[in-house]
Amino acid sequence: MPIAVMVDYKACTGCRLCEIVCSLRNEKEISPTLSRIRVYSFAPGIDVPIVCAQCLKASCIETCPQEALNRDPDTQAVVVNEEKCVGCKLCIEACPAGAIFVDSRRNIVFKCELCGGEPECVKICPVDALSLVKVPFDTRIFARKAEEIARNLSELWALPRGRITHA
Amino acid sequence: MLKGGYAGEILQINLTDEKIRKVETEKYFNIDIFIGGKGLAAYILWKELKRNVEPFSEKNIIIFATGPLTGTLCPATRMCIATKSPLTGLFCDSYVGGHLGAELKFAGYDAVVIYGKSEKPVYVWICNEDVEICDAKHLWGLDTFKVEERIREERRDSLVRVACIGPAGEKLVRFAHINTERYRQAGRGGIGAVMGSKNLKALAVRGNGSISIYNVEEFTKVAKEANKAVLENETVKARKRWGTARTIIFTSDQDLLPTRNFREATFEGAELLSAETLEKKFWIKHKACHSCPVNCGKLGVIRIGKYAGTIVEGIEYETLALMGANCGISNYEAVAYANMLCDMLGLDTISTGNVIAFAMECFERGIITEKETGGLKLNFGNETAMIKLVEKIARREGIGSLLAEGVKRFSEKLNVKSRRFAMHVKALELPGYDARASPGMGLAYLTADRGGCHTRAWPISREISGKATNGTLIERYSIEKRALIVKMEQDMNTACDTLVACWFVKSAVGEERYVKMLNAATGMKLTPTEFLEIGERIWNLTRMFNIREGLKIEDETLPDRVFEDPISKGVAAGRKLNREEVKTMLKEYYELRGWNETGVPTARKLKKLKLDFAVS
Repeated sequence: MPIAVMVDYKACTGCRLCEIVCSLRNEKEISPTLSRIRVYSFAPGIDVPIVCAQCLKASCIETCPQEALNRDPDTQAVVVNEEKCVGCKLCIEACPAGAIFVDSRRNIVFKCELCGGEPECVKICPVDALSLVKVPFDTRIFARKAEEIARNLSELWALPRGRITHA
Repeated sequence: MLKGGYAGEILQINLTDEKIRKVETEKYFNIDIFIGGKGLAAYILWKELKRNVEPFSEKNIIIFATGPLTGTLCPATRMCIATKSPLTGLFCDSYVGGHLGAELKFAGYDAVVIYGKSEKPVYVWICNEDVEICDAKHLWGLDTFKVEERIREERRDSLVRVACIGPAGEKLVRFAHINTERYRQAGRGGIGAVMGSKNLKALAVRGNGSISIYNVEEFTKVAKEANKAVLENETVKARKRWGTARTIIFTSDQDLLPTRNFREATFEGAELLSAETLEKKFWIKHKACHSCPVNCGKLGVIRIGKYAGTIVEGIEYETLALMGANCGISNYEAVAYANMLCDMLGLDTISTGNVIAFAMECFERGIITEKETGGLKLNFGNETAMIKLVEKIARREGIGSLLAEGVKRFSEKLNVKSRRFAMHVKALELPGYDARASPGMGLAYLTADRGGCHTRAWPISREISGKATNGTLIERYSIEKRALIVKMEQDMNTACDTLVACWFVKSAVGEERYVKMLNAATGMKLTPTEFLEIGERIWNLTRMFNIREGLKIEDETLPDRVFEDPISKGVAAGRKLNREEVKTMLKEYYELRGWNETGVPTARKLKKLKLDFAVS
């Protein structure tokens, strides 16, 4: 059964420890722009972590003209073959969550590959907003853009004027 | 060569001639003896600020300083903002969480130093190598929430971190704050007014770079341990659920809660302002600053009634105490609204609550009347009047203009009798702990470098538990060992302020782990003892700064009320501080610090702390 990092959006505090630990493990330095998980902020005080849902029917894999995106045989995570990726960014456009990013230094894309099955973000999250779960169905339904999730949260909490601001 | 932790450069921005310089962090100051954060700020203010500069003159400097652990996996790191305070005329460092400090590091800078004064409103834009002084005519006059929104819209990026001032900062209210991300403020000492005096509306930062770490494996290991230790700490567990609001029941029960301008020390309305009330009725989610596992922030919303539309992070304990109990107000909705108003308009809630409570007492005693207040009935408990006053202060309208000067200056303009209940130390309005029921807190207020402040030492927990240091015991209302406790806590807190680490996690993390993280991140080779000595060094440097700016031993005193009006009810009924005992504590404190009998660090002490340059 496929595994994926699932997010409890209501619980996220916006501390971004997940971003820090992700880039430390994967890049050996601390940088939100090199993190595979991203926390977006929306006024007033809404935080939305975005991470790959590891969709079963994955638009990124289907779109890639280089066949640079594949499944990891052990974890079933969608992984990038750095040799094949040419940085065309078609997968980024295709991703329904916005969970694929460009490494501009190397002109290739990168994404969450589940740290080989033991994601660091899940381990560090101090409020259990992130968890690693086995999913018996296509996780694609969880792949949403940060703006959409922020709007939903704003409605859920009945924020006055239903108003969130972002660029 | 810097090996990690630091971003590597410091930005110097002169608003007068619009010159922008980038200097190497390592060449700018000696990182081994000052580290960063408060250490860097204290060093710059000592070195570069001329003696007796008027705080609102263009010669004053503002420093936004991070530390080598800001933005890393070290739990809860922040940013230090420092200047010469227009409220106290002394060294002033104020701290802000949120994400600004981390963002500045990702942009490639350890600190930003602002010099001079712009002729017209401007804001500073920092995006990696790109640094600009931009026109801010369209932002002038706007509240802090709008400023941030506008800058983010203009830059088409919701992750731009903005530090800005509201109308209060523009109007030079002496306790105006600097706001970031709506609900996080560098609150105390009027730093926002110094930005206003420079016509600097905002500092906006976006960074895409990275922080390198010298020994990734070791650093990650210790930092993970530190995060775990924080989450296992009992105080943190409570703070995670209830934030700082939980303190109000404790202080009310212990006769420590400022009530009606510090007349009483326990508040009958405390339950209505408690964390339990807020959790049940107000909060919707937890909020954390960058890299913080504690999430002491709570976002609250009011959907119906008179204050519908209020959304604010808090209400923090200090705001509940000073704008609630101290103004005799028990309606949390009114306090939440006033809190949001202060955030938007740019006012420090501690000082604001204080000056309003002081004005209320003056009104009830007939020292000021409706003629002066413009018709406002300033009785304790009048929430509508309190809220009106907040707006008047921020815009300096009517009596608001007098209150905007702070409680010390305001009381000096009134009947001389009012001075005995003007609750400040060295012009900084007192925070939410009544010193009559805590001699240690009295000493902490007296000796804090930025004036009456609760964040440099907080001996209250030791006094209540009776446990001093190394297993020794103390009696709650005695003065024994207070000098030692206050000195020890000041040194530790100051050392943490160089990193810049939040006070809420420091005991759970402990100096050993801080030093390990610092060494692993930067390649330094500090020991815990040396780390604490850095705290002591900087404490002595800020002391020398204050003495240079004219601090006298006579200023080192508490408001008369603390000595003259006993607490009327509760566990500490009948208590007040004794002038002789306070003098004794102060004398012991000076001795322990190696200062002479007038509180001046001796040349020997300064040399021992490698502060030879500060010997006069």
